[in-house]
Amino acid sequence: MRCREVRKMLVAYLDGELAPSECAAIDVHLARCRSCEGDLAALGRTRVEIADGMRRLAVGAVPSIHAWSRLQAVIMNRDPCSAGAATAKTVGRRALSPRRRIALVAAVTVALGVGVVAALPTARSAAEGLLWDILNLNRHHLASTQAGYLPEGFESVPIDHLGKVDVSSPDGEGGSAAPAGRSNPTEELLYRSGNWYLLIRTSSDGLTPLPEGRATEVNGNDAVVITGPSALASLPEQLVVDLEGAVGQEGAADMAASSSVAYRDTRAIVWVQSGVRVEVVSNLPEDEIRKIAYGLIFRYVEGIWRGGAACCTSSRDTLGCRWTGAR
Amino acid sequence: MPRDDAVLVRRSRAGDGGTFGLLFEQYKNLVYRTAFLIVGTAADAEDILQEVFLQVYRALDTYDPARGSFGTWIHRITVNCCLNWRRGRRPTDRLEGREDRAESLVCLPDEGLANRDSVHRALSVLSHKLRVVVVLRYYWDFSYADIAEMLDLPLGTVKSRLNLAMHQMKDQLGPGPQDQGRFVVEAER
Repeated sequence: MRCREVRKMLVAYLDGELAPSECAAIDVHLARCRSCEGDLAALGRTRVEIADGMRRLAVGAVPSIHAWSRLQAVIMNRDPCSAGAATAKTVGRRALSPRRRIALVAAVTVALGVGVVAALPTARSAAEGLLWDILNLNRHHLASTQAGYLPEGFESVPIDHLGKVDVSSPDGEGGSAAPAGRSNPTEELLYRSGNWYLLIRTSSDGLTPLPEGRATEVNGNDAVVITGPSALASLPEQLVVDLEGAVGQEGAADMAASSSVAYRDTRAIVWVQSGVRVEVVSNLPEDEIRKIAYGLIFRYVEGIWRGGAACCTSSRDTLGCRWTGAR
Repeated sequence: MPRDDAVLVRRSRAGDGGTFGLLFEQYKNLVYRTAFLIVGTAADAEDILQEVFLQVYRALDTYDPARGSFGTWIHRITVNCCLNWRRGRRPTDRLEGREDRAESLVCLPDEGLANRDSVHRALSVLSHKLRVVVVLRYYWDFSYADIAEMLDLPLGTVKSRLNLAMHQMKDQLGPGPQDQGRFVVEAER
């Protein structure tokens, strides 16, 4: 074997990638050729140096913290489906199925943190995707969803007029202003129109959601207790919105026995949004409450897409949503 | 394929977008580091990371576990992206400086700075085709056969590329102390 042939095989020889017969031939040559032997030694050192050097280079090479949100934006902007197209198109590549698109929209919005600036159509599309996926919103609902929707005639009522709206502590000591360990656990907005009322409650601590609303127990079920007031005679003194589906009045007859429309029809839609628990409680018809809730989520998501604000704090955040009260 | 990957891929295929985020988390460093070592700049590596996962997302349904691990599959996409990335662009001859990498939160330890620079130089003399095989072999420890399959190349081509790459880098790095000593001895003979 000549030196020229051997040198073409030395790297593979070092890497143990030659057949035994080839190795034997090279061994014979190296035993009598100091030049090739030197070449082999130098290649061996180069091999170690390069491998070590690449490891050192790579150890600090990590993607930007915005890599995931950038990917979301790329997917949203490139995929024809994401622009709200009714039919999937393929542009030289496989189009995403609506289900995967929507699932991704929901996941990328909620799961890992969002920092996206995009045009309004994308924002709308993203928000719609999320609403559709999480809330099972159909196209009819999507068409009628308005960001920040509030039914006509509703006016804001200072919450003080209603009284405290509390989440009782798990040990049943209701009526406290805040669950233990929270300085300012909730923000509440109350709207009224005649006998119709709408209460929107959110946790103010974005990092830690309020307890799942299972703050107290009424008739064996967990419940949110809305303690109220005397200031507005048309509203009951105390509403208990049972998160398991029933609506009752704490310590009193059940709602079916009540003559109050407000009692009987009170419903709540509750979800956790980027670590913020949001409740919409109202005696409005279910469709109206849905539209209000969707409008809130829509505004929230659209705001994220428009403003590029990071909104999520951890992968544990989910946007789960469920109805409470009579359906 | 590791069980976790199998679950994540299956769930992603079924439409669970959240698990795609987990796949991203699991493989982002693999993709980024491969790209960074091949193309040499953090900015390009970031762009390739995006492109790779976009392709993965679109092609997830075509992934066949019987043909190899998910890691190998994503490696294949990554190196192809790296090679395509450079077509029509002016190659960057050097791996970028430390200041530029800081933009993407790359933080290299101070130790071994001289060695890194020499490795930069050695890698920078290689064409991207050669860098690809070097990175796959000496950073990721793929066998020649794996590399050949990944790049859809004959085994002999992988051998010749690695041989050429190592000889070029050896020349770039220059003789080591032992070589210098030996050459002196030989010259005195």
